[in-house]
Amino acid sequence: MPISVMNSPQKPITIEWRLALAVVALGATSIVTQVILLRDFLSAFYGNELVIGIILANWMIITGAGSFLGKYSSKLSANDNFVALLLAFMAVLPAVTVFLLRLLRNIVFVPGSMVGMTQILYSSFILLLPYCLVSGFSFTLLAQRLSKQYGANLIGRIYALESAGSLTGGLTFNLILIFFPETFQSLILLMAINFLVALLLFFRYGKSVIVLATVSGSIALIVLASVLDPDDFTRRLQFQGQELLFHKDTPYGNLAITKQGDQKNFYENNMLLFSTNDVVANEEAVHYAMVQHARPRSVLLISGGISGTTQEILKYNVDRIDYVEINPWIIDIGRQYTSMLDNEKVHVINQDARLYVKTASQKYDIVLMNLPDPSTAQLNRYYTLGFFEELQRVLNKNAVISMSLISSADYLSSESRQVRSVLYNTLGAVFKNILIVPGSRDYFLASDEYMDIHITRLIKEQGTATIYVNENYIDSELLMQRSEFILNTLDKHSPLNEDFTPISYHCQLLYWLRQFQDNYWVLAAVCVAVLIFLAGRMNAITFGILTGGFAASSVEILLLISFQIIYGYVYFLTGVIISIFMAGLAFGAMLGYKVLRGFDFRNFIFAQLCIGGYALIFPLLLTFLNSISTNSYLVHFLFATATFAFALCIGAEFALGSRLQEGSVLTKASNLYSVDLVGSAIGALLVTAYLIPLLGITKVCLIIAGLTFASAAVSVLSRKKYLATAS
Amino acid sequence: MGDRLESTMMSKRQFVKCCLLATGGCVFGFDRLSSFAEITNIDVPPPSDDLWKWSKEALFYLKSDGGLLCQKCPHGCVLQSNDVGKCRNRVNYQGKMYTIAYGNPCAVHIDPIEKKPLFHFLPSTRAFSIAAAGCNLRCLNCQNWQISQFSPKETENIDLMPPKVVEQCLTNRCESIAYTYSEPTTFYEYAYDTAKLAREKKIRNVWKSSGYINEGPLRKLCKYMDAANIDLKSFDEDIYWRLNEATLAPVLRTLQVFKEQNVWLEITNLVIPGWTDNLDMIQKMCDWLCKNGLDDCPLHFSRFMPLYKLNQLPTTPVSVLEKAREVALNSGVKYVYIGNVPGHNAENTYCHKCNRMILERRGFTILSNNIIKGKCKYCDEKIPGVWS
Repeated sequence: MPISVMNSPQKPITIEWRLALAVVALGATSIVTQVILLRDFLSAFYGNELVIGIILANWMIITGAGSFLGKYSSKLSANDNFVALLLAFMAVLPAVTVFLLRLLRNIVFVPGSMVGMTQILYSSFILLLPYCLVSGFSFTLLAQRLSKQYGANLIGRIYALESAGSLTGGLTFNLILIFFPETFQSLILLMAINFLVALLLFFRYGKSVIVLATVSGSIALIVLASVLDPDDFTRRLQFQGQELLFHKDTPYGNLAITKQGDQKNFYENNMLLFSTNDVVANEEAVHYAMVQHARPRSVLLISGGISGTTQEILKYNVDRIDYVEINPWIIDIGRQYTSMLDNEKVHVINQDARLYVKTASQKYDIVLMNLPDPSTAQLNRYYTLGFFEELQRVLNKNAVISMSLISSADYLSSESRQVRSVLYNTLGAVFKNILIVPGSRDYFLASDEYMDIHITRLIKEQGTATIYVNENYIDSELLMQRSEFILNTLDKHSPLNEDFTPISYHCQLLYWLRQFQDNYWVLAAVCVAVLIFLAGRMNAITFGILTGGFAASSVEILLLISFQIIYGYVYFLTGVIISIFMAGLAFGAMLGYKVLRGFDFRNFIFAQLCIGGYALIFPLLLTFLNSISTNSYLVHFLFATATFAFALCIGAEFALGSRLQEGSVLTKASNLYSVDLVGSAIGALLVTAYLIPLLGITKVCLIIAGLTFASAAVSVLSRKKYLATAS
Repeated sequence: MGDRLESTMMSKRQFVKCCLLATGGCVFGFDRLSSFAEITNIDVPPPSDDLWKWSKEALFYLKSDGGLLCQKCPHGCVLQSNDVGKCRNRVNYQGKMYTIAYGNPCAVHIDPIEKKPLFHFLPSTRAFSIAAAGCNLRCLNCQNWQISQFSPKETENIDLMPPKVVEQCLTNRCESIAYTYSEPTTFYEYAYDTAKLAREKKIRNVWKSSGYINEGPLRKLCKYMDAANIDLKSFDEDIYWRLNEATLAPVLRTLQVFKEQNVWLEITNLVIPGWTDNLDMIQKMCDWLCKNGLDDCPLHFSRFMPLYKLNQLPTTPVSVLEKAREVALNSGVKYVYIGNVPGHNAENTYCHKCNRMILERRGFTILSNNIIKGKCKYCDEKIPGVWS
């Protein structure tokens, strides 16, 4: 390998712009494809942290493998046509992958059915294989190609260019592409850009026949893809037997409305939000709680406002209904396809409910939460002690709040019991009384006032006209028996669900896995085994890179989750945090490459100590940010700074590690890139699906710190070897 | 992370070795994962095959060279030593077949009889309802998957032997005992012994089942059953297999036997969008029912709700249920109801002869009753059912 000149002083090299552009395009395509594919996978399968972790882990592992295979391309890379051909090939793959995913979803798996963890694991692996392999391969290919052309190791430069591409791609996606109503519009645009880059290379280096073939092929593909409207075609496949009235990709997920006879069905990410005229769901969501209040005047409705709940609330002659909905497009379709928001008493607030509750000046008699179960970190925020305490601030005396979980039907499994126990105890820490009302879902009502299970009697006394919630359909005595049955089986000593120890979503994951009888721990065991196996075979630098990769993905996730908890969920700001993170990485890499040009192994150790120290301080930082959460400017500023500072350390560590590894001829280590990706993959999976819900954010930080300090210690112990080599 | 770093300095041999070992580890891991794969494909044995207090030698099995041949349901499992049946609660222990679901229900509740649903059987009464874990079907939309898809050794159970069930039924003043929720065929011995005792105490017995049972056990059971509601899940062998992992023919035979044995029978057909909502199929089903003398068995078209694994489907449109009802009535089925749609007129009972409303029903509440001594008040026609 032609690396020996690496450490000698060099003239600044200017990489030919077409080739530089190819690297930037590679980075940009990678990030945009990742976001789009992840979104589509979650829509096709199911969006919990375990599934996200599996898909990201597959992504990183296959990309790492592709990059490793790229090492065997030294002969091929001599041929410039090959580079351009590969880029042209890669241009097509993202669109093809999404198309295949949607096409095969209902062919390979039972239509309308949920897919289990094992199937998600192998199907995402197979589908990601072509793109990730080619993308990883291309990176190595370009790195070798350029290094060879300029007779110097330009990996650091290429890494920086690629990061800049990721940053550009990330920003473009979050600022522009996200507002494209259809996924394939973004994918076709991406295809066109990549074709263009490939063509530029062909014009410069290629033969005229291939140029002609590629030009005509690209144009034909783009025109074909644009004319055929693959979005419409594939969406129709998802909803066979239903008339598709509307579909749109929004930053919060894909929305679709279908029609069957007189019924309209509203979907978000392929999951039914509601069907029109679902009397049972609408009445239960409203009357169980509202009937408990003698004179409800103001109602806070968190999500679920366009299904028909507002009509039920209005039966109480309330003064106002404040309907908080995070996704503005749901409000749009509500206005366009239903009349549920027409009444002047209904005030629509387009905001994250957590953010709204934090700052609201209005006080409420009733709060109705129509949210899915706490199955993800994001949803878990509405079931925590912290949120209930915040909620209390906006409640009038005697107020009643209501939320629900999927019905336990006739039996409580240990998983269902655990979810309910945690919710019951958490509510109990804030409210004096809790009433469980088992219905089509299990409703949990909480208030400081007494509540009565004889709901049908109250309905009758108040003269509220209902179709379902009345004594014809609900026998008070039997309802009481079922309520007591659930109450008596709950574990009164189960832990509370707290913002930074989100135990509920762990319980919910176990419940989800039980449906497939998948074992929760198998995947974690595999991850830990791989980690231990790799750690045992590493030198100081690869170990440092491994823990660095682990820390990078873990802390990025922690930053995103904490920001949602402390401030609130804002899609745009999530994109900004990720972009700042990437900018930090790129800048850190440059810092490691340029500023620390007179590189030193001590700097590598220092970078690791910084990362470890950061992880140690992080919980304190969160506590501080939480205490000033109302000062949104300061929160934003500090979050941005904290994100940038961390990414800077990570970027610098990688750049330093890369240079040191190159310098150390004696080292026989694994491929750094693969190690980084394995570390990141395992970090993403372990932290989201296991460590955060089980241990809480503080302990996760301690683990990250511990691992990083361990690798720093290894570096300190073996410093002589590297310092000697460097000198 | 999109962090790209690459080192060209490495030992090829070592890396290949690492990769192979890691791949081996992953493959082993994934292999373990696949052993936890979807329950539709494999049967997970309960944690232990040992007998316990709630074991009893099973009825209906033969010893053969290949093992014990279970003859209770059409699956016909052959159990080697320590094997567990597809139902998860029959085991081969030391050469004898035992049920491990005897006297250990995991669900015990009191329900209105209309919830089963039974509309022509003691209206507005209560059923003391029990279920032990296990089921011989694998329905993708199972409402009670937390008990049906597990063995009694994996659920939390109540110790309730047959005499206790009868005693509790009387204490709670329930008119009937319902064997329901999961699949009573799988806890047959327990249900049978309880039913026998209940009959002595003049308590009625209700069988809520998928009807996937062999004729011999069914005929024996019929002696003590007063009513049954059977889920006729579709009228297509292929759908039956893909949706429920069962076959249609034995279920049809069950319907005939119940009728022949004078057990009051009602039939439920869950209309699942995209699966069982084909009106031609419903037409064929109704034609078969009429041809086989089951036209006076009330037929309940039930609205589907997204549940368990089938959670990416919409609820059944009411208009589809109404069309199905129309098809059934036109075919000659005399009493056709729509379930899970509160407030719908098709909850009421209309005389099959004069078409007048004879039972005005909302849920489990009878608002007006015009059946007198089992006959229509208006036209004196005998209304099929058990009214007292």
